[in-house]
Amino acid sequence: MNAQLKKGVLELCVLARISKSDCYGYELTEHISQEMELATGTLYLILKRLRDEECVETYLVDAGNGPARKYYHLTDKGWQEYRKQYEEYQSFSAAVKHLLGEE
Amino acid sequence: MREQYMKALREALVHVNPEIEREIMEDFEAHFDMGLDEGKTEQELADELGDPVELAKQLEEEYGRFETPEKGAEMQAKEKKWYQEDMKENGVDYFTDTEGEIKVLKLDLAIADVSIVPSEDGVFRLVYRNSVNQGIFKKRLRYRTRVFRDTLVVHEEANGVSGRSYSSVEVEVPENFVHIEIKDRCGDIEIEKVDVEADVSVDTVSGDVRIEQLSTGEMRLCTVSGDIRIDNLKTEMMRAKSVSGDVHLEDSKCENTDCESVSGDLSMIGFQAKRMDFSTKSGDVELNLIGEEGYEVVAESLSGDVEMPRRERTSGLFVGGKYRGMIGNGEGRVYVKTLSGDIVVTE
Repeated sequence: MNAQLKKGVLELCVLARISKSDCYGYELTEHISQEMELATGTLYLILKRLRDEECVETYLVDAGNGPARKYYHLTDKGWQEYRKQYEEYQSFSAAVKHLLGEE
Repeated sequence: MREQYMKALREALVHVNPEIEREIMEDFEAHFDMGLDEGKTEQELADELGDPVELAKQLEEEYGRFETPEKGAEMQAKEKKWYQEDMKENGVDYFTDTEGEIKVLKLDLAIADVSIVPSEDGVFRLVYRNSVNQGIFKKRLRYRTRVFRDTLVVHEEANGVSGRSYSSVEVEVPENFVHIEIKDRCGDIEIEKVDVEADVSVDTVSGDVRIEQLSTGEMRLCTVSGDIRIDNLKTEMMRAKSVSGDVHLEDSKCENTDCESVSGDLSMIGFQAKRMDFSTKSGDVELNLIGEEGYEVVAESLSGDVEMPRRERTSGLFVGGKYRGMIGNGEGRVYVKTLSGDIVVTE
């Protein structure tokens, strides 16, 4: 898949996953890489950016034997961002479908 | 594989802000930990994460390229132990001794101006700069720097360097420094507010020497045509030699003093010493003595005038141009000798 195309929607996919439930990095990369082929490292860069923009926040959870897991949680700002991007994507996707003659 | 991948990542992230680098490295380490727990291999995980160079590029695009040129240069210098096999030309070199190893400084220079000041944070630093106007002739200024144990050496060679070329050495020395040795041809030398345990030695041809507030065990100065000016020097033993340069000392205390010139004037104002020896061929000698004890004075000029303090504490005798006598109780000794210069002694 075209890298430029993917880049635009990846952030939305990340927001969507975290909106369902808090999760840790590895969980998120597994979830997304099952659906699409990508360098999972990129997702950590997106998480970092979302955190800088205060769309997500993190907390540590003791994982028993292993090292503590860093969980990501969607903030209010994150929800707004998610909704905004979701709508943008919907209208964009509808427009593309239309242009491709599918609808 | 994991180790190789993380190493490659660290290397790729050199131009990424260290804060971000640290965070990304942590995330990736955790990713490896969990992936391995889930039964994946290091190879699989590394492949999935993607090309470190590509990731670094994305980070640089997003957060900007992070540059640490100065720190980088310093670190590199430190790693190499600042050792240069070959002579270098035009450039700037930094040296910072964060471990407090450097105690001895040796400068062997051609045209560089030298400035030595105290280090505010106790860290030894040296910056060497030069720039040469090459012109149509092969004009060259080359330098080499070395660190050997506690000694830092800067060596500079000039070959037909034009007047517009310039070079400088700036040094910050910490309190417990032991030895400073400077050889220079035409650069000016300035030492200010420094405390050097053992000794300081300065040797120049035409450069001027300016010393202010220096305290050291032994001081040795030598110049051909450059002037020497010293304010507030404290030392056990001072020797100054000049051909045509003047030697001027003010408010200083040097237990033993030896000053010699051919045509340069010697002047000591507000000067205190146990034993002094001044000798010149055609220069004048001006001596303003302070201190509780008196002096036994021998002053001799073949064709010049000799003038002694007016107050009748003097009990000396003039025989020809030679004065021999006592000022006060005569604890200290002063010998002044000139062929054609004048001698003036005041209290």
